[in-house]
Amino acid sequence: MNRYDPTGSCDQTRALLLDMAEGSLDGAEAEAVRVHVADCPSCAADLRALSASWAALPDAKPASPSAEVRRRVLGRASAPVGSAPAGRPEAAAWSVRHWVGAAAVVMLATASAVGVSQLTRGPGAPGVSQGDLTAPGGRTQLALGDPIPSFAARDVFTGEPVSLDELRGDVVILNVWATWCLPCESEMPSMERLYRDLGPRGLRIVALSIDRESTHMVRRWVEERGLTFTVLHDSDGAFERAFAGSGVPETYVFDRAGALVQHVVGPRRWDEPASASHLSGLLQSDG
Amino acid sequence: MSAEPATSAALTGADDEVLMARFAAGEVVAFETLYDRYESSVFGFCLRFLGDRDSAEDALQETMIAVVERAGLYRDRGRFRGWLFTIARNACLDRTRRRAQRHALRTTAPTRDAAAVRHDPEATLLARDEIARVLAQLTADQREVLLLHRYEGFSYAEIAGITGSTEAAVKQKAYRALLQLRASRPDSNQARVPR
Repeated sequence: MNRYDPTGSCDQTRALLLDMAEGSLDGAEAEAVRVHVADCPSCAADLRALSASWAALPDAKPASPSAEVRRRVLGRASAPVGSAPAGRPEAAAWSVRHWVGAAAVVMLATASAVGVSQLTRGPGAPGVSQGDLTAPGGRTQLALGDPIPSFAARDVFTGEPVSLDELRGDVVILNVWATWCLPCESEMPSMERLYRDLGPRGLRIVALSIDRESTHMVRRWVEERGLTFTVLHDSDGAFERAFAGSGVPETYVFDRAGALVQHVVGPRRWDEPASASHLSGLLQSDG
Repeated sequence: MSAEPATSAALTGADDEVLMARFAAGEVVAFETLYDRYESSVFGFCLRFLGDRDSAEDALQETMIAVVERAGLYRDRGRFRGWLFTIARNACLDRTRRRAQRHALRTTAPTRDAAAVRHDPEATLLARDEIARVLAQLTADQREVLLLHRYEGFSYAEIAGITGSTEAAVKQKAYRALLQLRASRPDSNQARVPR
């Protein structure tokens, strides 16, 4: 189709100059452009500049990332951490979470690489069998009313171990996340706003990264987003081995007495009125 | 589509849509084939967009993991490559925005890691990679258009889909980008700089 009107303006010609410069214009359109630029110094100058720039663009050489990236990505594809890719068969099974009660002590079989990750579940509600407590894979399911676990991992900035049960007395939001998780990233800003608003009143936000990357990488990720709440790193999967989860992000809210009062699967806008109001109420309570 | 498990070599010739379908059904080797098919081009795009190897590797990783995470939601039949580069482009833009924010913060407050400020990997790459050096003169949206069109072979219409723009707007960016490059050459005395 001939898009060019030989009696048309410079604007019409310029719509074709790019294709002309790239060598992708031919036939009547190319001829029409040639006729126009022969009598139009401005369009002729543009065509010369476009052609010269296009021709001067350097050729691309193959670029290769480090093998570590491939290893990480394929590791994620073959062994989804807590959250299988949506639509895959195991996804549905992972989302079932109806275990209740609490009465067990689960010690991690493997200490973390930094030697501080461990989990202990305190004495819980009576009348619940061990079978009710154990999720597929022998992992434990946190249920409402359960005490905050004594799981410990290192702070990505200070390097110091932080045990969750030491935070009893504050309202604690435990957010399990990963840097590769886009929904996790999407909820972080609202979590930061909430923390800045309610932190002075005793709200503790602890974001537990389950990345298999270096702590340095996690710290850099956090820095880039200007997050100021506590970020821990569980690089060897101790938390996942101990707790059944339905994926990331997954968030647990503990009251001042250290009891689990809310469990959130998936991202949330944490500073929206209903959520902030609920947490504000917890802060006013003695637990 | 065969339901039989396949090896990576056996899937080498399969098209992107078949591989995505097989991965969504649980065949990890199908994703491995896709990864190997696109690793270099996505990384090259990110590298030249961001001008820094560490950030480009992060963006590549984020892109590929997003593909893993969204495999079951993939619905853009027939345009996997465009979908992939849409994710990669967003990952790069996100990093560009964060870099700008960090740059602003550095002028007003110390960072937590002073070493990161002293080290400038971007300058290192720009000195080494000719494409990155040339395109560094452009704005991010001009740069992405040239990278996607010239080096990844997307049409302007396809780029409009990737960037959420119109074909006319994309061509306008390419037009201005090429004029800008010409105007910035030392031997240029004719080209005009677009407004």
